[in-house]
Amino acid sequence: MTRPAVRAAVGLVLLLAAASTPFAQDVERRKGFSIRITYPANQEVIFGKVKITAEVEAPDPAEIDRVEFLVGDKVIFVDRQAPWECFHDFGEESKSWVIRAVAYHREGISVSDVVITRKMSFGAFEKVNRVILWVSVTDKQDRFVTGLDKDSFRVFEDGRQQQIIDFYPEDRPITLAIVLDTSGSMLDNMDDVHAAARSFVDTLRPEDQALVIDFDDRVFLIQDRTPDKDALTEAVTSTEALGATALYDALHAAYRKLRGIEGRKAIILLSDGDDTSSQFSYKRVLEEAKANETIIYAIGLGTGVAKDVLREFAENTGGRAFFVKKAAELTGVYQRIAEELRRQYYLTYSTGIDTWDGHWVKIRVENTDSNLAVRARRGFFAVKPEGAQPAPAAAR
Amino acid sequence: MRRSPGPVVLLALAATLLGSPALAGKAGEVRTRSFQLLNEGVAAYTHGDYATAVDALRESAAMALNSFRAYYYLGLALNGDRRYAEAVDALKIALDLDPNHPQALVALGDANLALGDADEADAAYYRALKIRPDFPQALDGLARSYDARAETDKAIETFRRAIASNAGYAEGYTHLGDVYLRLGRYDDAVKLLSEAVSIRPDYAPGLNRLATAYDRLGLYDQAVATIAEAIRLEPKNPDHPATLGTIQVSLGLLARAEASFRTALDLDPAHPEAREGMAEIDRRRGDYAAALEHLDAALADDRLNRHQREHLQTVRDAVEAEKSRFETLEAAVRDGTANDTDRLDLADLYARRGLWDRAIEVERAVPAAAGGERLAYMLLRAGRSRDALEIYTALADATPRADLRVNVGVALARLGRDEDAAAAFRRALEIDAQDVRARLYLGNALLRLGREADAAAEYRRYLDKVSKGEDAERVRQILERIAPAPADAASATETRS
Repeated sequence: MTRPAVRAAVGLVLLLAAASTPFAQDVERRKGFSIRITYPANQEVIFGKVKITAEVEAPDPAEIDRVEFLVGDKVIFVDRQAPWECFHDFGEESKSWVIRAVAYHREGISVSDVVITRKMSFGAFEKVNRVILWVSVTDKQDRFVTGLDKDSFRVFEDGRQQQIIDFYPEDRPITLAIVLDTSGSMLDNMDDVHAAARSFVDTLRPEDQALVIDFDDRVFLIQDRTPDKDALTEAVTSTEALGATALYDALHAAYRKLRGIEGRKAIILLSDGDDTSSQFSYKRVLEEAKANETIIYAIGLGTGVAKDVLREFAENTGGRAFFVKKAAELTGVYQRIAEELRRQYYLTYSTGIDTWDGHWVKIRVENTDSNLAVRARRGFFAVKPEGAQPAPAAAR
Repeated sequence: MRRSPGPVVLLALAATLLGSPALAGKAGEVRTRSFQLLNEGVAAYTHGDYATAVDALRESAAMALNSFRAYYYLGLALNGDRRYAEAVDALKIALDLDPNHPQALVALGDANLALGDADEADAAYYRALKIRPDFPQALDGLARSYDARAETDKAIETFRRAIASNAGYAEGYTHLGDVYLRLGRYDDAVKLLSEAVSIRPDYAPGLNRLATAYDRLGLYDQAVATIAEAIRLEPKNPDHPATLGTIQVSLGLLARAEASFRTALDLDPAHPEAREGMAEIDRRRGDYAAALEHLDAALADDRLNRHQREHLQTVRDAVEAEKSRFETLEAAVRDGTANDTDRLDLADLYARRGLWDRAIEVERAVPAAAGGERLAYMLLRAGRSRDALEIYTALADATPRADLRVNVGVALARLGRDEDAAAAFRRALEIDAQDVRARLYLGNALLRLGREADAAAEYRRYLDKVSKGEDAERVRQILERIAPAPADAASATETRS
């Protein structure tokens, strides 16, 4: 580098160092004067019309001059009296929004807070407004009921009955993620786990595919998606018990592996304990479960299992949670799941919602015979697929 | 007193060093292999070999499904390989695994920015700033976001904030230097970029941009030396041979430039700068079909960001238009239907391709153009200085214009007649004392004649009138060599310390 260039650049650096930085806080002057955005929360998913609220603290509240609310670089509202809040329409598209609130003191100083909302990614979405459901029906003795016809089912969306369009017993291929807890606490059960998982693999039809994930505190794909039963058997029987339990990480990984695969998909999860080391949160993975069509079958082994968590995942997705005390009982449970997968019904209906603002749309499926129990996923998020045209204003 | 570690401690340490217990069978192999691939991928990324890094890290991440490092480095490598949509996917997973990792947030912002989604990019940068206020990388990202939205003033201000938050942040200097390069503020660009590589001599992207700045200033030796250092540091990064090719095009070394661009294309077959460079070489050679083929190959790459795509499309449109005009004019000349305007246009096209002899030939076929300034200029560019001198002298004698007399001087200088050239420049200054070109060239002629004091005096008079620009920068460099200012040098040392 030439010497004059160095000289000039150093001068520039000194000039720059003196420049003010808005992120630096003049702590003394701001003592006791602060602002916090109370809604929405950081990393929350928001759509549509949202009330933004902020709390401002000052030794003398009368000295607060105003609060400016900004979305991105644009001031959307200037509030001159408490409560400090405003409404803003964030539209139908899921996006990350930068929301700022700046409080101005009558003395001229200001404080600010910022929250950044999260863009929600959906692994699956309702295609062309058509909602797909896979339904299992059992009688009072918990036996699967087959041979039912379309007219014996009723579908309710947010309490309103919907017309079923397609209906037939489901016998098309399925894609499965076999997720095995191999944390240290499973050490004494591994032989039974291997035997049960092997027996489950044996039930797969030639057109079905499966992948195998094992997890302790780390999550590994032992076998990628394949119809090859030998490869799957080798994978499920090669696992060894070690480490802590990253249950949520494993579930999220299974969702990622199944993402983009068309048709019926299910996760068969075996775990013997509560999550102890996941980096994904329960809320985040439950959100993923609710946003997908993938069915979860959860098997809890032993007494240390988090039953509520496994039930929540299973029931939201139209699956089922099983709890067994001994590993020797696992083969029976796996066989039961295999049977259920062969005895489901496929039905679709056209959604009646017209507001695609990300809200949760509840689904309930019933049978005309009240003695029968019906299981299907419990709803979906009203989010349009990326790139879809918004509904005309008149239709909203 | 320090105690030596007991056997239990040593055993525990040994167990830690061994890592995970060895697992037999498929599950064990997956764990070992994923770790091995992660290390290979990170090493390849560090050396700028992004394609290799992507392959290794993708395989590692496909096995180790909750490995933050695998997804994070995969995202970085994908960004490096300009596969931004895939980078977003990888970095989102990384950030689910560690939501408070500011570097991953900045990388996510960068990927979104490259995809043209400035809002998502800003959100990522702000998240990073919320975690670490004044984080220079995040400020730098915000500045690039402003720049992408053509809010140049805000961009410059925010780049300055990034640099102010960390005076050792080389990327900030480089990106701000890049803005100045685009604005034509080459002196400012060189200063900032020089600072970037002074802070981090191994920062290859900074060297790359500095080489480009030198190229724009016509400081070709420095440009080549600087880009050579970048290539040495990152031999697998196609940006650097592509920039070398661009410099070689500036020097008219088309065969060497072609070889450099081919090296870049071996590393990345769709590299936009390399494809554009190849297109320029083919255009100059008159092979418009090949030029368009290169541009189409670049445009077919879905990794291009919006600005790159718009730029390449503009270049393609220009080449297409030139091709069409050239074919029409050539056919008209061949058929004998060309009028004088057509011939002059054709001469222009040859001149734009650097085919000066062909341009002169066509120009001379237009009677009204013979003996004119255009022809004289073409002769000068073709190296036929004696013919050019004849025309310029006749024109200058007929019309007392300073610019004509300057060109007489240039022709004389090209013929090695510096004493006569200096006289011609002086005559130009008698006609117009404000003619800065005459002043500069007079200084040059005096320097070549070995009259350094006189040359320095003329250069200083030139700098009184022109303080910025590539010529001013070169003049300062010459003055530094022939008449250094000792006081300035001392103050620079003090400031630096």
